Amino acid sequence: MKSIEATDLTRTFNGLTAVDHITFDVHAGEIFGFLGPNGAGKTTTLRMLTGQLRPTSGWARVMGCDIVEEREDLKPQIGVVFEQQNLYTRFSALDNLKFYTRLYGIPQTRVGQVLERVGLTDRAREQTSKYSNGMRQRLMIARALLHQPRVLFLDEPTRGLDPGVARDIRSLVAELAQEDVTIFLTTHYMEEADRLCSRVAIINKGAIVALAPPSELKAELGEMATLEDVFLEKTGYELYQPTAVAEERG
Amino acid sequence: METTMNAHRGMPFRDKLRVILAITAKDMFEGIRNKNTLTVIVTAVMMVALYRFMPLISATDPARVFLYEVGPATSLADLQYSSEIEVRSSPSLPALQRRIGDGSEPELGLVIPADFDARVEAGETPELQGYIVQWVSRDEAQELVQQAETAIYNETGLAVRIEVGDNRISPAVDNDGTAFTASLGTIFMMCMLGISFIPNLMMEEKSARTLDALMVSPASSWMVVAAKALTGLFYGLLIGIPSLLIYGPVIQHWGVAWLAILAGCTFTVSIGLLLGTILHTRQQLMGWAWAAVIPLMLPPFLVVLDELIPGWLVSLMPWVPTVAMSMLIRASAAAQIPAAVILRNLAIILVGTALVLGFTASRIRHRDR
Repeated sequence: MKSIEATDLTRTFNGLTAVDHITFDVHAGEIFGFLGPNGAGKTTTLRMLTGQLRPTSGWARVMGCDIVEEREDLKPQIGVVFEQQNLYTRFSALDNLKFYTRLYGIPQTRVGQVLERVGLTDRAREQTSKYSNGMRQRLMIARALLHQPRVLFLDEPTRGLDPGVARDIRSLVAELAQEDVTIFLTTHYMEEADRLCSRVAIINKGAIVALAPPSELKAELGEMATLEDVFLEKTGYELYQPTAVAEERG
Repeated sequence: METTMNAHRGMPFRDKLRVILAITAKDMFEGIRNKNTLTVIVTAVMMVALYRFMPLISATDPARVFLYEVGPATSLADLQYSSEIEVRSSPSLPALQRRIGDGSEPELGLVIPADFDARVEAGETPELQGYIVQWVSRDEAQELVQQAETAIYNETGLAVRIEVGDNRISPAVDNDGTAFTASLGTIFMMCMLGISFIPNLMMEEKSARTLDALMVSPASSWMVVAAKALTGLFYGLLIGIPSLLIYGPVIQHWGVAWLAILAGCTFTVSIGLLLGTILHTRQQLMGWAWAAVIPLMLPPFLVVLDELIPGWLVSLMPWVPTVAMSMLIRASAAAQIPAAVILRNLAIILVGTALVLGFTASRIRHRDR
């Protein structure tokens, strides 16, 4: 079953094409990596798929809901962990989550369950302004899981985190996929994508330039190739070569 | 956004209300923890109190007494030299009554009968009809009467009896006395709420990016705006209650006063929502706040200075919603208010609110979705 289907999805801003006729689908319970350099169109795609931004053309369905026509039906099906931390910092973790239970109309008992899951039970009553970066990120994940979404969108979830916290979050993502939650993951960490994702799409200048399991993509480039090599090759990044520069300078 | 609205038709009203109330409750709770909110509330109430009590603090030491002489009363001629009361004359009884009703401090109006001198010569103790504004307490009124009787005796040697009785003057519907300053203080409070507090409710959601999280939750832009409006009304009433209590003795029609506060809050909240929607930073707000405050705050002041401003501007003034608010508050101190005054001013405020909300809605609709 397909959790996400996107066909010819396009978005322009004042004549500039941010996302250019991309087509892909994501299967239920899959961890799908969406990779690309800065400004390639990752976040724009994520914003369209989560109903925050209307596509200029093309269409997409998430859990069978059209992202434009059935936006309100889509909302309970998805959870989003944003790239930038966006919590009510005057509130405790408990109050933040209780607020969202009221929005979703779900029992407050869910708060304890998600806090337990992200390991914040002991610090739940502390004001989130006093939280570390990693704790806030955990809380954002807890918030996204509160209403038990079928699809979880994660925008750079481990960016700038301690290796330990990043590992915890990756473990949690893997666990969720085992529970049949579909994961749409954007990341700059190729190793993370390689380890977690069953398939990855590489987007460059708004267009998908590669879409396959990481193993297939690496195999195309050679036996010793890494996903980073694939990424750099597909996005046309020219590697800095110190020896060549030195020779040129004489 | 049209699509969102269409989709929302499918969402039960009960659920929409739940979402709106959840955001409102969150904003109220957050507002209590926000120093900026508390500062705005305390400052607004203090300003209202200042407007109310400043005229009393700066009141002239000798009480002001207005005399309307029906016929010449030469025996009172020396009263103008009194140091205990400040005497001024009125050309007619209606002018005297209007002046007393418009006073922003307790003043006494006295009618000197045509046969005053004759009665004095006949050895009688003449009785003078006194007039005092309605909102002055009985004790204050009695004190004022005694002060005037003593001053008249000390200055002219004449014993008079001043009878106020039921001669308590209610301010006119368009009075420019205490009810006018009450209206200015209340409008100032509401404008502060609208220009300073409400935009912050929107801008904080935008700057902290919490609005993004709301937009992927069951909340829509419309629900967020409605919730912020409710929060604004809550805080407006929170400030409005002490404001009306401060001016309590002046108000005769509490229903009209509350209507003015409610309608006024609705208007200033809509202005705040518009500012919060179009502005993104506090710096922008600081600049725009001044641009917004002038057309909101200045007309209620200027409306009483109709002799100093051009005629075309005078004719436009009553159409400004803040002037309409001022008119309702001023009218609430009058003894009787024509229904047309209430309906006209209420309609101006509500139409103004609808126009601002409509513009805010169009801004939201044309955002990048």
